[in-house]
Amino acid sequence: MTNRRSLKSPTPSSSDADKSLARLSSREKEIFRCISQGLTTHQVAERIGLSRQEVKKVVFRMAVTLGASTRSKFLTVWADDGLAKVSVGENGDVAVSEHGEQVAWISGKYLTTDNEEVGKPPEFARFLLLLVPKKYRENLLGDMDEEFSTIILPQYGARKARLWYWWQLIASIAPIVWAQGKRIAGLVLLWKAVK
Amino acid sequence: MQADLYYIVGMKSRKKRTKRYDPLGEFETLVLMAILRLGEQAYGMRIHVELEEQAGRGSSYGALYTTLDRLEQKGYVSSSTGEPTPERGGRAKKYFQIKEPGEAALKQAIAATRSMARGLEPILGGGL
Repeated sequence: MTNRRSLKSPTPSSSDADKSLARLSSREKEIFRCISQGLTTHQVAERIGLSRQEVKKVVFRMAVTLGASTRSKFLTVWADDGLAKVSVGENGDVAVSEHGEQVAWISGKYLTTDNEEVGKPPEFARFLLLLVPKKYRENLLGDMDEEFSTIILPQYGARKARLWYWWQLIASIAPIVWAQGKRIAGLVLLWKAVK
Repeated sequence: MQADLYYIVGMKSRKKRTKRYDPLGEFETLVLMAILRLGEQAYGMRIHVELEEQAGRGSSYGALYTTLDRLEQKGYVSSSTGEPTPERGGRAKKYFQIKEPGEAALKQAIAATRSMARGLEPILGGGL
C-alpha cells in the first residue's frame, strides 16, 4: 500500500459554479491556500491564528462546499479554478505555481492518498450492518461513509480511519444485540417457568 | 369541600391551557436542537458532527438513528430524501426537518429545565 499518489492527470472537478472558490469567504480561501500547500492542521492554525478545532471546522465546511475531501482534491480544485498550475514529478511530488512563479512544493507523502484499497471503508465490517434495522441501514451506511471519507480519513489517516469505522459499527449494533439478547433470555425464562 | 372543588377545577383548566407533549429525553432534546441549528443541512452525518462539536456528545450512528426514528414516530420531525453523492457511495441523504409539535415540545423541555434551574445559582454557581 503506497501513500503516494500521482496527479499526472488530475480528475477534473465539476465545472458547476457551486464548487467554485468564489463561494468561499476570504478566511476560508486563506485556509484553503494553506491546505493546498500541504500544511498540516496544526501549522495552518499557527499561521492563521486560530485554534485547531476552528481550522478543522472551516476545512470541513470547505470540503462540503467544494466537494474536495482530500488534500489532492483540494489541489485539483485549486488548479481547475485557474488560480494555480499544478505539476507532478515522477515520485508523486507536486509543485504549485501561480503566475509562473513556484509558490509551493509538496512531497508526495503529504498528499492524502486516493488509493482505492486504503481510502475506502473496510468492506468486511459492513456485514455487521445486517444486524441494524433495514429501515435506516442505508442512511447509516451513507453517513458513516461520508464522515469516513470527508473528515476522519483526511485528519487521522487510513489506519485510524479504519479503526474508527469498526468502532462506529460495533457501537451502533451493540445496543441492538443487547436488546435482542435480553428478549431471548426473557422468553427462555418464561418458557422454563411455564414448563 | 368548596376549596377542593376549586382546586380540582383549577387543575383541569390549567391542563387545558397548556397542551402537554410527550416529554423529551436529554438526547432527543439535543438532536432537535441540532436539527434547528443546521436548518436545511440537517442530515445524519451533519447532526452527528454538530452534536460532537457543540455539545461534546459523541454518539454512535445507531443511537442517533434510533432517536431520529422515535422523534419521527412521535410526529416531531419529518424527513425527505436528498441527492446521492459519491462520498456516500452513491447513497441519498435523508434530511430532517423539525415540525410544529417538535418545536413546541422543545420549548416545553427548555422551559422545564430553566424553571427547575431557577434558584439553584448559589449551589451550582453562575452561568445557568
